[in-house]
Amino acid sequence: MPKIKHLLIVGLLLRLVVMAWLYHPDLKSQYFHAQFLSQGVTNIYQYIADHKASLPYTDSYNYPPFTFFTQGLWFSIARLFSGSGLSTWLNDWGPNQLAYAHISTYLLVLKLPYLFAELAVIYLFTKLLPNPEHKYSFLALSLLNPVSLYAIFALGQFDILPALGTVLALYFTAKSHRTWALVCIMLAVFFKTYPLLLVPFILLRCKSLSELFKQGILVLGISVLFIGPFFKSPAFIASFFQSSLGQRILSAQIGLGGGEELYLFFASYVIFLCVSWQRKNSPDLLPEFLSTTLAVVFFAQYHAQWLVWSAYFIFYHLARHPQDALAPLLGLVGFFCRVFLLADQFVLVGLFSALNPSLLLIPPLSTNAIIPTSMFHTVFIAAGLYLITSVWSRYVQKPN
Amino acid sequence: MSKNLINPSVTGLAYLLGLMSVFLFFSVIGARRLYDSGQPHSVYFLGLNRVSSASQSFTPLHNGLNVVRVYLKNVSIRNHDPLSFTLTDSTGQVVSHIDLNGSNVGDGDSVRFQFPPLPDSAGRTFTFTLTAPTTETSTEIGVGFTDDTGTYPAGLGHVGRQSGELNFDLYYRPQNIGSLLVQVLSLALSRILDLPSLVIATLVGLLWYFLAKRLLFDR
Repeated sequence: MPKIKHLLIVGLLLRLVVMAWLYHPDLKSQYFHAQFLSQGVTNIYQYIADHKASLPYTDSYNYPPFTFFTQGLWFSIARLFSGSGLSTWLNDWGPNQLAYAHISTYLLVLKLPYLFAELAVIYLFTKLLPNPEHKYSFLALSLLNPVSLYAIFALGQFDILPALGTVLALYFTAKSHRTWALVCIMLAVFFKTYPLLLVPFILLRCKSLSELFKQGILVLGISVLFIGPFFKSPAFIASFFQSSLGQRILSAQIGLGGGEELYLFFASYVIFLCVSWQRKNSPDLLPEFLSTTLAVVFFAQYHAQWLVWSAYFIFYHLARHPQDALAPLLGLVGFFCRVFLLADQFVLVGLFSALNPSLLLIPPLSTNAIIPTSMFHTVFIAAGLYLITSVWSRYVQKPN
Repeated sequence: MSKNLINPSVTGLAYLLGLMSVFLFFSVIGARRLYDSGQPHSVYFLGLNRVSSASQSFTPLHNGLNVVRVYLKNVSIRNHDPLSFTLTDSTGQVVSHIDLNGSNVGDGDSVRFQFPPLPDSAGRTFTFTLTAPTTETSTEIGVGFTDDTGTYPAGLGHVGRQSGELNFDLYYRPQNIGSLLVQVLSLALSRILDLPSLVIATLVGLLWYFLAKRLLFDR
């Protein structure tokens, strides 16, 4: 127990340090939009389209509605203990937006929900790990891994929220509570759309056609309930259905001739569905969830935060099968090397600009590194495919 | 995975040292300069064109003035005309002259003008002037401007015949690495030792720890 306490303290300190000291403008952008909930705005998409000329920041809002409502609710709470300076800072998009004395407070406060969402994810997995050795390994991987520290707490991205929904779905399916699993997945969809890809695997576990029909109605019903009110808004349609995720997963193709393309992600997805069908009596959906979320990242020009979708599934697998650790380690190197070579100040140097705004005078590490980024992406894919194969081989051989 | 393989203290220390190293490397070796002073406000944009130039007098606080950044707006990047930056001292002597063009100016962007560090810049008055000798009003570049001359008492700006203050920043390069290192650390510490964030971090940290202990420990 003292070693677990030690692990918790170190993990917590790292998170608090990274949360307060590192800044990415996406965090500010998301909460800039979210603040309008406290002013009574419920359709942020239309509001931005209608008020673009008067807003200090004019980027469109590209996330599903739950993100807006969740962050909007948190903003209302956060400003109670961070003061009015938070609103002032969020609305300042001028050249001196980093010159605020309390910027560390604002960064820390805005990222707090993700700290507890991650704790919930860790808790759920530890409930699925009865072996104390495995539990400790999972905790160590979760608390000390660079992906979480970078993507969640440095970049301040909210991907841990839909990830929590998918982990809840995994947990409930393992307990054969498929209805709750679908509810959780659908709630996750309204933070980011990728969990929609995981729905068929849960539906494949239905024991009868009538159950399948009922669960299908449930999925549709939840979709209509939460998206229906926004369907009349052209700005919402433009934002929601033209997301970068949808476009990016179609980008990895192999030409078949005659203008036809083989879409690599969809080919993989069909394979996963077929193998999942073979083991449809198994309530453990780890291989399906891990491989699908990882495949999305592989076959797209990914954003770093997308790896959060798979990360905790990978840690769960590695906690029980540490002999598979080499591939993820290699993949991690490829992953981060590609990310740091992107033509964007804020993948590395710019993150520290809250501590020293002069760092924004430094251009990105690279502006035209297609070959190196491709090589590192290839390493990442190769290592990841090896991991996926290892995972499936263990699960397909295991008796249900 | 053995408990002995991952030592939390060593890993945690490695992360902290790594973060510090990256920060100091980029601050001291990469950026090599610090913020001096400036005028951060823009109420509106005034046009820079062939009949309307922009100028701003200013007084740096530190020696080693090295960069002037001016907030400019090239709407839809439509302007590709020549643009000049001239820095003069109080006697009118040209200290630096930089030629660029509109393609170097974004649509709401701080444009950086860099020159060799001026070792004795502290307390001296300089003026920078922006001219666009061939730009018509239809493609003029906007200069961030405020009428409130009180926002920067150490100088005065003009765009055409309008007086006020331009939106600009000054950066200086400390004379030696030791001095730069001290100032970088001092700046970072002032941000890190922000009392509200320390209080919130402590309270939230305690809450998180007790929740984690309750939820995750074996009973």
